[in-house]
Amino acid sequence: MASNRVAASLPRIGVTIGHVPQKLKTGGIEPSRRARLEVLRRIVTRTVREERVELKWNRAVEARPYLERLIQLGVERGPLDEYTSEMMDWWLPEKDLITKMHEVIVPRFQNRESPFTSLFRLPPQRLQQYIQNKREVWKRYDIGVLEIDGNPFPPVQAENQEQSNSILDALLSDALRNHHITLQEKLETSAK
Amino acid sequence: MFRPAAREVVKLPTRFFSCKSEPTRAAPAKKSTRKELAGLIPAFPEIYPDFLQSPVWNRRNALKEELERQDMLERRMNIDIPEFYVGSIVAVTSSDRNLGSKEHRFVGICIRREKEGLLHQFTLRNTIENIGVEVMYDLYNPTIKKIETLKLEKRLDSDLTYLVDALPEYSTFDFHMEPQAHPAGTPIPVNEVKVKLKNPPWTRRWEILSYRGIEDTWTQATPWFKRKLHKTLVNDYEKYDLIANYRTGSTKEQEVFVQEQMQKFEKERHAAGLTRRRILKSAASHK
Repeated sequence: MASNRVAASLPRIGVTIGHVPQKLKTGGIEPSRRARLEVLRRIVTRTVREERVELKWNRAVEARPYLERLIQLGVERGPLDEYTSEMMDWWLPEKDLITKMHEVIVPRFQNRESPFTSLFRLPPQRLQQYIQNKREVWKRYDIGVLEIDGNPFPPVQAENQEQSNSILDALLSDALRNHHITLQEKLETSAK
Repeated sequence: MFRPAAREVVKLPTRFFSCKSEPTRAAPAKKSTRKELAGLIPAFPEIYPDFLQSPVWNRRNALKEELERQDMLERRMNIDIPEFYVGSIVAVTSSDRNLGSKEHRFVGICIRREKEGLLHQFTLRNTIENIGVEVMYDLYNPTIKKIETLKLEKRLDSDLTYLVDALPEYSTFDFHMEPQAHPAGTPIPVNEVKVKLKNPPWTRRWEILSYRGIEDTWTQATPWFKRKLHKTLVNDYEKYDLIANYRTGSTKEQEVFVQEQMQKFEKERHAAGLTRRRILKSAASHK
């Protein structure tokens, strides 16, 4: 409503985004839309700093599109854009992170399409909350791992290993591998 | 030839995830499509708000949009709908069988453009005999004979509803105004006039809605309003909610899709030799 939009629209974000913003527990801050943004800002800042963070699942899902959009702004519009720099200033209150964003994270995604982040679900954790009249109260937490792609850590999800030990499977996979190698060699010789 | 390989078996912990989220491999490196496609307009959502999708996600229906778009393009082949913005001065000639001249011409400043698709509306405002008059037109109403942009410009805001509470001089325009040509290829001028409002009470609380085109609402407000404003939440931080904007806005992919469809439609009609009218055009990006 307020002001004229000048810049061209941004591409869509390749991440699931619900059509209703979810309420987040804000831990002490009076619950409001402002508090929700503050929680998300802390998560985004932490993710940019650490590149892989373990969060409650719903928070990770909610913070992911914000992180995506921030990276997308850097990729599409660059650091000199007014809107981008305003958003970066607010979402990354630690100034070294803005430098990191523009010089480390954004160059990774110059020729890539969204999504720029990954989200994995870890097994739920059961934690004891308190003991009331010898009654133990436990709570279950869904845990997610949010990470920026291309980070230096080992992958969260291992590649699918060849599980089978049967001779037929072993022979077939070797034959396929040899076939690929010979194809590669043929291509190389034809290129020369 | 057979090359037996030492089958290195590295046991990495494999875990099966039950989530639908895309892991890293789901985002393969693609060739960048960031180059600007030829003939596409960067300011498309402003010039063609009627071709955008609904801001409410569950009202977006691809088939409905497609059918409506075809009707809109057909209509645009029959009537020249010029480029205009909120803040431009527009003249609309519509047929009216009850008048002697059988047609009615209204000139005014465009204060609103709302709704998508065939139901797109725009509102013109003018002061006639010291009475403010607002006329809401359906853009695709078949009784509209002619739409002219007399002065192509923007204001600081994309909604000028507050002119209803402004002094009448800000919404008074001459009915015999000469059309001012906009030099092609130059950016659309922004009229940075700041409007003075009448004394409150107003129809809406303009002072808290962060309009840029209103001059100093705070000093004009009466003490009663100031006390009320004091209790009100100030929502300055809402502009930082990146995804709230995304939820209601349009995406580049959709805009490119619609523009390519419009170009194709134009090309077909031109090839058939029926018309030379152009639908997709922009004064600012004209070459």
